[in-house]
Amino acid sequence: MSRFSETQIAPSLLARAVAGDSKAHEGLYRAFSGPVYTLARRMLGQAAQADEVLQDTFVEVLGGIGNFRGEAPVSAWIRKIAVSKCLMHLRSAWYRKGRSIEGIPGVVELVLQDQAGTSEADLTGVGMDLEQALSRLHPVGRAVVWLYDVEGYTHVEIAEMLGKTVSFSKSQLARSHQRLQAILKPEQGGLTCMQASNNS
Amino acid sequence: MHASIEQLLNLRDAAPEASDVAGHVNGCQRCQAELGRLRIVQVGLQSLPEIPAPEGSWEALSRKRPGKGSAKPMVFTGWFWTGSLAAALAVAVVLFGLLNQVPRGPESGSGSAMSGTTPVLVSRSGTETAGSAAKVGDMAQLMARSQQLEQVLRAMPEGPQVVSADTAGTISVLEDRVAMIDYRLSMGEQPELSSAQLQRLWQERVDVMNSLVQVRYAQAQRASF
Repeated sequence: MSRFSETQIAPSLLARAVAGDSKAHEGLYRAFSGPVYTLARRMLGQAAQADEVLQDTFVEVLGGIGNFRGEAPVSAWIRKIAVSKCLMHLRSAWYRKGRSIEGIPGVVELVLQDQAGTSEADLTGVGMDLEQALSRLHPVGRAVVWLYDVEGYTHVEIAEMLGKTVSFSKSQLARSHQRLQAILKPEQGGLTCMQASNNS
Repeated sequence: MHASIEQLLNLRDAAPEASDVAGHVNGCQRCQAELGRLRIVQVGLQSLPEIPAPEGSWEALSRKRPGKGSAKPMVFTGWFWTGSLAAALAVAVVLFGLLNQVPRGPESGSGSAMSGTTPVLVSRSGTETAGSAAKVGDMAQLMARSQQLEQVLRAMPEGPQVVSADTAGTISVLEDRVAMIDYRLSMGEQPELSSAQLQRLWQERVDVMNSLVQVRYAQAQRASF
């Protein structure tokens, strides 16, 4: 379940935020900074980029809250901005540059140390923690998995956000789940049911 | 034939799927097991704990928002653009001058890990790149190149007050990397490091320093504009 839909704020707080009350802005930030940061960490994988998405998202949210008309829940509005920022990161040359730095010997170890501070979610005793498995997916596949399986976006919505087709979104989801299964079950040597059928 | 992962995902999410596929999965233990695993992974993902925002992030955001509380857009005046242009020109002139001071080695086709990201450091003569010029040079050339890059870094303007976490993290990683190489080079006075190993270390230092210069240059550009 998306953290955004679980997060509720008092209507009076929202009204004060819309009116420009800086204390209410802080309240809005305190309520939604966790969901935004979590979304960014899970979609992008790295703390530094998630920090930037968090900041950029709230610069836009607090800059535009005065025009918020309440036609959709505020949580959905904030989530939309955060997702858009994450996708901008995935598309940016700066993000690709960051990934190319990983080619320098020793940098990968530092990046992994950075990621090691995240939570441990052991999934039914399998060899690899699900969070780590997620972080090992290709960035676009990881984003699709998170948007579809956790945030509840449809393939049509994801395709629109990515500027791709629905088939692209579906195949990214399927391939990423296949990869997740392979990472989570390294001890299983042979082909799985799904791999066998896909190869045939 | 067993169900594909896409078919199983359709069944998991109650999306339309051919009835013969659903019939097969109902009667197939392996497909049932895979479907179960897909459900477990989804629930597992949804159950991952929230990651709290870093401490002090609200304060950092408040500093980043001049006139916090107002929804007024930032206004860029003529002075802003004049100042930005002057700063960018200053960076470009300093880099151009310093890079021209040092003798170059023979040409080479390979670049550093981040070559090609800034106009200053790439392809002034069409085939030669600043980073790769030193690749095939001897140790003296590498040391000179390293010293030159140090000069470039020192000549760069101070970073902006507000630095993105991304940029700060990248700079920190690269600076740490230079420090690690320097440590290994300081051990190179001992006889167990061969000259080839020393040369590799100097080459690595030049590559990392080159990356650092490029990141700082990009930062200076972003700060200006």
